[in-house]
This record gives sequence, C-alpha cells and structure tokens, in this order.
Amino acid sequence: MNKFVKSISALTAAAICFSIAGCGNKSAVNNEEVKVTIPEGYPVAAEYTDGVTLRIWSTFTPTAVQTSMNESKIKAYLEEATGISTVYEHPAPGSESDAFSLMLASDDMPDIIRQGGWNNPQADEHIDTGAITDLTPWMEAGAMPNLKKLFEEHPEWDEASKTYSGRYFYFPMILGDDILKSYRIYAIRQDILEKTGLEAPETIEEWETYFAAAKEAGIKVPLSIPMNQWEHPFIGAFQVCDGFYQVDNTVKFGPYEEGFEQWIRTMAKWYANGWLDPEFVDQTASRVNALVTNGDAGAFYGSVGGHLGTYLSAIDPASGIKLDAVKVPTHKKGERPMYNASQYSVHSAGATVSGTSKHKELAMKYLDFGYSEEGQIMWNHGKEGESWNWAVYEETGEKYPKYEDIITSAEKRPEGASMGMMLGHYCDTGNPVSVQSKWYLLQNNATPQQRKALQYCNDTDVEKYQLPNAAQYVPAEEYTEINDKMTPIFTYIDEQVAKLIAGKVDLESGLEEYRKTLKDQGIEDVIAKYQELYDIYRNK
Amino acid sequence: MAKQNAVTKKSDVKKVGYFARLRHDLAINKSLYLILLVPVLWYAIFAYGPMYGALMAFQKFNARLGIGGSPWVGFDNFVRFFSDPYFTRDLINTLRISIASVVFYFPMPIIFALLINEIDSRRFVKVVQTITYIPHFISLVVVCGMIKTFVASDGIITTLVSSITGIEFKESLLNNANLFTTIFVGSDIWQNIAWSSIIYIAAIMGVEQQLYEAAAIDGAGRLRQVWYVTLPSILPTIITMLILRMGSIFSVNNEKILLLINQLNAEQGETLSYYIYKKGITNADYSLSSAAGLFNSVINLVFVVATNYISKKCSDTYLW
Repeated sequence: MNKFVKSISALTAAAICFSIAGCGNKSAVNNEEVKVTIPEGYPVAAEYTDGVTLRIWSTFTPTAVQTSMNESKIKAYLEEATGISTVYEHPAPGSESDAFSLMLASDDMPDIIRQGGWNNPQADEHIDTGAITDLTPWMEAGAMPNLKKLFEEHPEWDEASKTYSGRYFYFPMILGDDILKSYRIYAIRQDILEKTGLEAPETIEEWETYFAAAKEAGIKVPLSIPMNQWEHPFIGAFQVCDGFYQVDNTVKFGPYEEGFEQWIRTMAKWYANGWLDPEFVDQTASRVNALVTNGDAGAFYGSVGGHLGTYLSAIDPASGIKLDAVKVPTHKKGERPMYNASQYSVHSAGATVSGTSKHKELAMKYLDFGYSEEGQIMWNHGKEGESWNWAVYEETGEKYPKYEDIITSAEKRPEGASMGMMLGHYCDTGNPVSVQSKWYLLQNNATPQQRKALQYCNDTDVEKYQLPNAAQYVPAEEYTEINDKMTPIFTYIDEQVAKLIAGKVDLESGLEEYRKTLKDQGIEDVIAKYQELYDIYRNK
Repeated sequence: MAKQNAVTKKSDVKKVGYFARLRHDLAINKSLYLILLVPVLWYAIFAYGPMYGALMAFQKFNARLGIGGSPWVGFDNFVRFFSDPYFTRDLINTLRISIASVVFYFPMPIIFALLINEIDSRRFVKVVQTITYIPHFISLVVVCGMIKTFVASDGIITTLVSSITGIEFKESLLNNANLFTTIFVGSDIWQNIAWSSIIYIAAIMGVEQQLYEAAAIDGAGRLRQVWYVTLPSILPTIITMLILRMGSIFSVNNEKILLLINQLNAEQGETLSYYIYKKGITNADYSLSSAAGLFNSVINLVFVVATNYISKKCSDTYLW
C-alpha cells in the first residue's frame, strides 16, 4: 500500500511539473531592440527579406472561388508589390474566438494576426502579456511611414487607433469616406406611394399615414424591423441615439432616455394597429426575406447590400413590387435626421504584429504598404489591367478605378461565383488592412436604389453625438465589472421592450417598472463610468 | 486466476502486495489489458485530461498567460455567477424544463415500446418504426424551423389549438412564455420518442415467453400481462436509464434553446447555460463560463449519486 501511495504522489508531482511547464507564464519580451533597417519604398530588396515567409493568421470564410486566402490573387499581388512572401493560416469558420485564444496560448504564434474586430479594452492586456507588439516605439522609429503620414493628416484617426493607455497596437481598417460609415437603411414600397399618391415619409406622422395607406392597400405587414440590444429603428425621430452617446458633453444611454419611452409607446401603438410585424421578435432571414419578396411587407429596415440588394435582385419586375430607399426618420419635417446606426472611421477590424514574431520590422513593412497610395488601390481593387482600369464616374466626372468584367459581370465570372466572392479573391474589400475606398462601395451597390439608400443613411447628425471610440476604452480591470452590469441590463431591455410593444404587460405600469429596474440594476453607475472616461479623454 | 483463488488466508493476502498481484495478472491476461488500454487512454486524454482546465474557474484567466500564469481570484467568479440578477430566474427555468422533460418525456418511449410490442403484424411494426425514427435524423436547425412553422399564427398546431380552445392567436405560440416548456418538451417527444424506445424494445424482447404463457393460464388479460410481466421485467432497464437521465438534470439542450428563444419567451425559456453563453463566451470570459460549468457538473453529480442511492435503498437496481 505504501508503494501505491508513493507512486500516486510521484505521478501527481509529475503532472504538476508538466502542467506548469506546459502552460507556464509566457511573459512579454521586454526591452526589445527597436531598430529600423529596411529602407523606404517597395518592393523590399531580397537582402532584407532574407527568404523569410511571414505567417498571417486570419479569420476567413471559404467561398466557391477559394478555400483559403493562399489561393487568392490579392495575396500574390501584395507579395509581388512588397517583395515579401506570406502564407495564410485560417481558424475553422465558427470557432474563431476559441481559435484566437488557443493561438495566444500556443508557443507558435504567427507573425501577423488579422481580425474582423479587435476588442480595444483588451488590447492593453494583450500588449502587457506579450501576445501582441506595442507598436508605439516602432511608429516613432519610422517603421510605418505611410500609416504615420495618414495619422498626421488625420489626428482624429490617430487618436482613435490607440489603446486606453495611449499605445498603438494595430493597423486598422480606416473608412476613407463618410459614405462608408452607415449601411443600415430604411426602405418602402415605391409602388404603394405611387398608387396612393403619398410622398416618401419623413416624420413619424407621415410614416403612420403611409402604414395606414399600405394596410388599406392590402399589405399584410406594413413594417418589418429588427429590434435587439444594438438596434431600435426609428429611435432617432424621438431625439434619442442608441447605446451610449453624448449631448453637450453629457453622456447618455439611449434606452434610459425620455424619448425612448415615447418610442416604445409609438411601437406599441403600431403593433396594436397591425402595422408592425406581429412576429418582430423572430428575425430569421428566410422569414423576412419571404415577407419582402412576396410583397407582404410595406417597409423594412436593414442592410444596403445584404437586404435591399438581395431583395432587389430576387423580386420579379413583373410582380409590380418596387422597393425604394427613404430618408432616415426625423423629429420634424425638413430637419437633418439625428441618428442612424453608424460605424467609426477607424474600424475595429485590422491586423497586428504578434509579440513573438522574429520578423517584426518586416511584418510592419508588409502591413504599412496598405496605407500607401498604391497599396490602398491594391487592397480595394486589385491589380490594374487585371481586376480594374481607370474610368470616369458619370455623376461627378471623377476618375476612379473601375472593376473589370471578371468581377462585375455574371457571365464573365466563374460559375457559381458572386460579385462579393470575386471582390474577396482579386482584392480584400471586406476588411482591408488599408483605407477602405468609396469606389468599392459604390460599385458593389450599383443599383440606383442602393446608391440613394447610401446617400440617405449617411445623411445624419450622428457624429455630433457619437462618443469617440477611444473615449469608451474601459480599462481591463473594470471591464468585467461593467460587463457584469450591462449583460443583465441588455437582457432586461430586450425582453421588457418586446413585452411592452407586444402588449404582454400593461404599458403604463410596465414603463414605470422599466425605468425603475434599469436604475436598480445600476445603469446610472455605468453612465457615470462612461462620463468619467469621456471627461478623461476630453481633458487629455 | 486459479492461483488467486487459492489465496484464502488473510495473512496471505497481505503478503502479496497490490502491485505484485497486478504484475501477475498482467502477465496472464495480457491481451485483455491491451484492449482495456484503449478506453482508459480515451478517458485519460479526453475526459480527465481537460479537467485541470476547471482551475480557470478560480482564476482571472488570460489565454496568453495560461493556467500557470493567470492570477488566482478564489471564489470571485462563483460570486459573480450567483449574484447575477438573472441567476435565480434562469436556474428555475432550467429546472422547470428539465423536470418537465423527466416527467413527460421520460415515460413516453416506454409507453411507445409497450405499444409496439402489442402489435402483432411484424410488417406494420416495421413501417411504424421507420416512420417514427425519421424525425430523429433531421438536423436540429431544420427541426426548429419546422417547429416555428407549426406554431406560427397560421401554423397547423396553432390552428388545431384554436379550433379546440376557441382562442384566436394573433401571433406565434412561441411568443407566449408560458407555452415555451410545452413546445420544447413536446417537440422533443415528437423528435426522439421512437429512437429512445429502442433500448426498451430490446429489453422487452428479452422477456421470457413462458412468463406470458403462465400469466395467460392464470387468466391475465393483455393489460394485466403488461402490468405484471413486461413492466417488472424491464424495470432494471428503466431505472438505469432514469439514473443516467438524472445525471444530466442541469443540461438542457443549449442549441435548441438558442434556436427557439426570443425576447418574448425568454422569461421562461432562458436557461443558465444559455445565459452563460451570452455573458461568458461571447465576451471571452472563460473564467465565468468555467465556474458555471463546474457548478453544473457538481449539481449533476449530486443528482446522479442521490438517485442511485435512493434506487439502491428502494429496489435492487443500481449503477454502483
């Protein structure tokens, strides 16, 4: 028996040693040497690349055209232009977040990490644990001249791309034009407007007139909109923005505002009148798709490409159903709309250099190319003569890189390939490590309705009220605390709002309870926290 | 083996140590141990190996620092988990759905197996079995799509309910929080009743025919034969299945919840594991998720041990 006990303890000891060795502390490589040796300009000479192939970790969804970025044309174009060879590694689609954590835990990290969304509050933590490189000293040393130049021209981009503690940590995707910021649009049935002689609705009253007319005309569901913790369509017409925002430097939380209660009352009325989709809580794509394309929906809110674009091509012109974009709803007629869901110029998508890379300078050199003039065109359009050529934009007379037929024409494309797939093959328009170009957007959403929608949905005052991205960086230590408060709050808002609208609870007492519960769950503490962060940001 | 049996005196047992006996047994039954090695390795690598990850529940886990380097925070994650405003509600929801499933779903396959057994035409049995197995093989996403269609405001089930009760439904039945458990468990029964009955059908097949003959001679009708012969004969199978089922009392099918839940039925449909998915996984808060997972496992363990204990006291069937 003694022997048995001994061997068990020996085994346990071995297991503990093993686990410590296997999952030991991979702390940061401190005091690394920051020295820029590679001269400016591309392609990089062979003596500097030294036969190195940079490993790029990137999320990726296989398409009919390519099963990996390694098969893409854009990868080859970039290699040719920069003189740096690369190889892509992709996590399995659907498990990106787990794969990302696993990669951080492994000893074998790639050189470059590309992600669709960097979680800025955690960026400082990633730098401190040595997972990613602090780019600040490299920026100062001149390892990324193109990005630095852009940041000097646009100080607001510079500010927005830093972590809470003020360090550079990634090469962000930057939206190069205001038109790229919002893609959430309101659309109605043009044919009903024509039939009833109504004008395109702008205010809540006009929308209500439209719904009543649509109902009269036999439309089953005059309005189909999604509602969730991120989006509450029409809210801008009640002089409220979604989420956290500021008015005259006072931070507010949309769903805790007076106007939001007005919005709930209005939605409840629309629901009771049979105007709002009775199944608004079920936003299954196939259901909404059928609703719109069968002509059962009188109006909807959605994406310019994924919804409007899809529906436009799915609807048979002979059916008489005509969709068109309308302006974002306003409080008073003729006013500029206050709010529409909108993205930041400095997007959370981007690439960074891992903390363990042995070729940091080369990796930065490769990524910085995307911010040069030549690189911007390449990431957005591909290679001249192959995937694009210069042309003149008729509406404005501007010269622009026009995609070739291989991308735009259904006949020229390989079978089964959509325009979106070709854009991901010849260029990387989804999340370019570069400045996203409006010419991509305008060509990808080419129908007149979509272009009109893009004009309308970006014509709002949202920037006046938006909290700067950098002002929302919650320090890592407090992030958990805020998450612990906000998850139940969002859960409550989601459920109570739906119940109030659907008449499951009494409107008056329900609204009273709504305000009280948010207060009890500590929303005012969170607002105060964001106020504090915003004040620190402003006084910097 | 023969040698071991020969050891009878207590003093002899002490003399031959555990490892000596093991070595001896290894030599004799080499091939048996080799076969055993496969499942043992499987459990060691895939079931016991990852268990050290439960340590995350007591840390503020950071993937880069790993379990060796992340700071220890004691029971903080558990406190966060228990003090969440939605903990109680979601705990009750989990239990409600789970208990409803044990009470209503669990007996169904047994009844189904008994009914199948009473059919004389083999051909008819085959046809019934084949048809009823089919839903089990449909992917859950499609099944939930079907459920949604059936209970939509103009769906087949809604129409049926309307015509029986006389209530008009303006919206999907799923939007009624009170009906969520019924729809969830009911659709489970529809999908899996036949598949789960296989084990009982097999058990019924093993019942001695002479018992039925004896019962018939004693004047027992078909119903009495079922009650006094079939059911007692398959009772050990039923109890074993029940004990195993209690071992997952806290595990409600998360994917199905995810596919059926909406803002209006969340009040009764949101389970603990779904909430933790929302709060932990989507925010990469692995420590919280581990704490919740550990809590789940402990409860499940308590239930399975308790059921086994009760069963051992009340009947002769038990797992250990």
